[in-house]
Amino acid sequence: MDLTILSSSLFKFYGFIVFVYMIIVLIVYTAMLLIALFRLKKERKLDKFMIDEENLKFVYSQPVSIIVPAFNEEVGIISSVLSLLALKYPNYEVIVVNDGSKDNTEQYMIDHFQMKPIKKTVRQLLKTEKLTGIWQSSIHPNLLLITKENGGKADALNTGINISKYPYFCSIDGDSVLDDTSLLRVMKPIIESNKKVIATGGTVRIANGSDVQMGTVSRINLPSETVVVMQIVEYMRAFFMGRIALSKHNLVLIISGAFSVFSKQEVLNVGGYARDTVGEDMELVVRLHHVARKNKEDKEIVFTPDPVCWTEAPATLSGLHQQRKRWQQGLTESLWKHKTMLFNPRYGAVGMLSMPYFIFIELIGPLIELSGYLYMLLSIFMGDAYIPFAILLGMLFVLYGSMFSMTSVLLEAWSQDSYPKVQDLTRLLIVALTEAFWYRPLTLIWRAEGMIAALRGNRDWGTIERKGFINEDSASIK
Amino acid sequence: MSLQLLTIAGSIIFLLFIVIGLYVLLVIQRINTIKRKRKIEAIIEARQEDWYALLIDGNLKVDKLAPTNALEIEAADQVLYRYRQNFDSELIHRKTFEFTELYLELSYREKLKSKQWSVRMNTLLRIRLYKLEYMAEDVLNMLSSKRKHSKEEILNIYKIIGMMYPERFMAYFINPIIQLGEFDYRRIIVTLQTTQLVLLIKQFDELPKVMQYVIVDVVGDKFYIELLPLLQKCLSSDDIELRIRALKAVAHLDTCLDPEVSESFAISEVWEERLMVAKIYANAPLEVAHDSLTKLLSDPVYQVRKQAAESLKIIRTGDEVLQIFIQQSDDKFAVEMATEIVGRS
Repeated sequence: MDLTILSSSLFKFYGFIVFVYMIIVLIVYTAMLLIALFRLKKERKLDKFMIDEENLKFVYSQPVSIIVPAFNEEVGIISSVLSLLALKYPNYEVIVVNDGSKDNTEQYMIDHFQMKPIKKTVRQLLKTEKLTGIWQSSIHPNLLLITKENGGKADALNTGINISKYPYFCSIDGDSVLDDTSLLRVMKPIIESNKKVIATGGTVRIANGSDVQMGTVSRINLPSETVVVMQIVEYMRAFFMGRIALSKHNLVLIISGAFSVFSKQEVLNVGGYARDTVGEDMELVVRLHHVARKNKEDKEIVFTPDPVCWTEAPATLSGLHQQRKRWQQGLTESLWKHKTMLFNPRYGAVGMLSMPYFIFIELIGPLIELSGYLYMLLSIFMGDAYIPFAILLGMLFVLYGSMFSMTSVLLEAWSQDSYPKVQDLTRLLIVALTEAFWYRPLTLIWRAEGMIAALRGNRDWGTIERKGFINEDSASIK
Repeated sequence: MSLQLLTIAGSIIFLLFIVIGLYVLLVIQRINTIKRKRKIEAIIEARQEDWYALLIDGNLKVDKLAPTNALEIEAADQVLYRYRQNFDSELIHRKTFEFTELYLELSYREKLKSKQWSVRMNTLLRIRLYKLEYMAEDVLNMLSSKRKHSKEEILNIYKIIGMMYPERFMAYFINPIIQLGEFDYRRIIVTLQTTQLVLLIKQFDELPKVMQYVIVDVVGDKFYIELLPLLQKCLSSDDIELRIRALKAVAHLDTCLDPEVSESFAISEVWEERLMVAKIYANAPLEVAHDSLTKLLSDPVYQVRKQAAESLKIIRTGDEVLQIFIQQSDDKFAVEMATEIVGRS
């Protein structure tokens, strides 16, 4: 056969593969969207404050240790800790683990919260880098600062677990702030399930542009940077279209490390956070599933949309590049480490549905999608015969990249109403419409880079510049 | 190909129109909601002095605030809820009861039959919060209705039964229509009056295991010192979990046990029992606790060693025992622990 004809046929065939793949993905996402819609419809009119008041009376028996790993977090750590000290929860401690920061994180903590060094025996339940000091606040006795040699986020979290005294721990990023009811709401599934639920995660929202005062988000605004608004849309899409549906059937493999609660004993049983991955939060969740299914234990890991954690998103393309590369690298490493679960009936729905979803849609998806974009570009040079199919594919990308994001924005506005101003809603919708044309291709390239970094065994976290929240009480940390 | 192209292009344009349509609907709905909220707030503001006079001063008759339309009904419901959340007095209870019975009963009755789960839940929570006894029969009927109610609804119905039918609650609790776990029982049992708890305790041995555990926990948490005999009885049970919980409850009651019983638990093979008895020893005089706590300072389990040191620290002159232990013991970990506890202010 003529080589030109062969390559032309292969080209067409590949285009067809991408087309079929996109159709399958669209069906999967539509199903997820419908599941989320029913769940949100059910709870839309519920008086959640009344439920909170109810639950406050019963959670006293489940105290929580909040662990805040901090590495060079001088810009946001005070706001973050203030928000934690203002939580509506009857019994908890806050442990800030300063992971060998090179900035003033330690000094700001000591000065702001009047911390004094204390003697404390620490059990090495999990192996960690050496501790260099333990401090306790004189004004908030439930606040501890641990200083240690640098060992990475997983090591800092493991140190926090070693120090913690309560049966549940909550991991919070040092640049995040919580709503005052967040801990109460994220603990609700654990308590109500009579301990069948061993880990929960809440919704992470972007605080850029909003007013943060004394560790509380006092007014929600949209930021001026389009790249951040685009991320707000993306977070809505991920949380409302992915995790709610997966959680309903105990299929969640990702709960954000920025805000999640775990049963300490269960985490100790599986050996704590892995130090050899940049996606330690996802890896831990997959490992908990892995071990529970292997031991035939009826345990659940759930995502709950109500409790909200506010975080600062990268405001520049280079920062976003670093973040997305790292996330994809973490995803690749976690899935690779637990690849034996794939299509293995021994691991139940996690092995048969969740793992295939994450591998074929979340992991390999960016590569196929990216190749689809390349296909469209190449079609222009291949001649007129290919252009109609390229347009067809392009339309699917618009459907996938933009229409679903627009639907998520509407779903969020209908169920949560986080941005009540009509002009904010309109802006979110317009930005969502543009996703397929610039944002999606960019993130696909970065995600592909992340996969390559994982294959190369790169362990570099990279650095993302942080500006701090608007109206943050910056005077107090200087 | 062109047909496929047209189909997908048509679909996208169609979907885009749907999204724009939904957006317009959402905006209209939002504007209406804001208008409605403003109207309700205006109604509340216009009558706030009257509400104060009714609920705080008690010098206004209920009929002066009679709602005449749906907006006024909603405004009244919100005012009552806000007052109930922020104040607690016999007058507010009474006036809320009177007002809702006259003007909101019909609305609550309809809401209990709503197709929306969240509306039914909100109503159940209000019935319990306001103790609306006139709604008790309607709530009870929910259990026999054709609609399948969620676990959250059933738990709230049981709590209302516990509150409003003090004599009939036992039958419902012992044989619930859905399987209840420990936390579910806890949520119901903590709402019971002491007399109801005593009734349950009379049939303690026949109760489901989980319920026994919760009752024992609640006795400790709510400081029912008069129910100490139940805990003492549980200490001789074959069920390890029940014994541990009973010991924990005794520790919560800030009381101590018969020395022989304590000593037997101090040498138990179950470390949780040793831990709990170490906690109980904090309430005993030093001469009773000394020997056992000193031994427990060198216990192989960290938590037990720590609790023993903390208990000694609490007991009068226990500090001295800890100091002597630090000087004389060659158990490095135990000494470290004791030093840390002594060092705490």
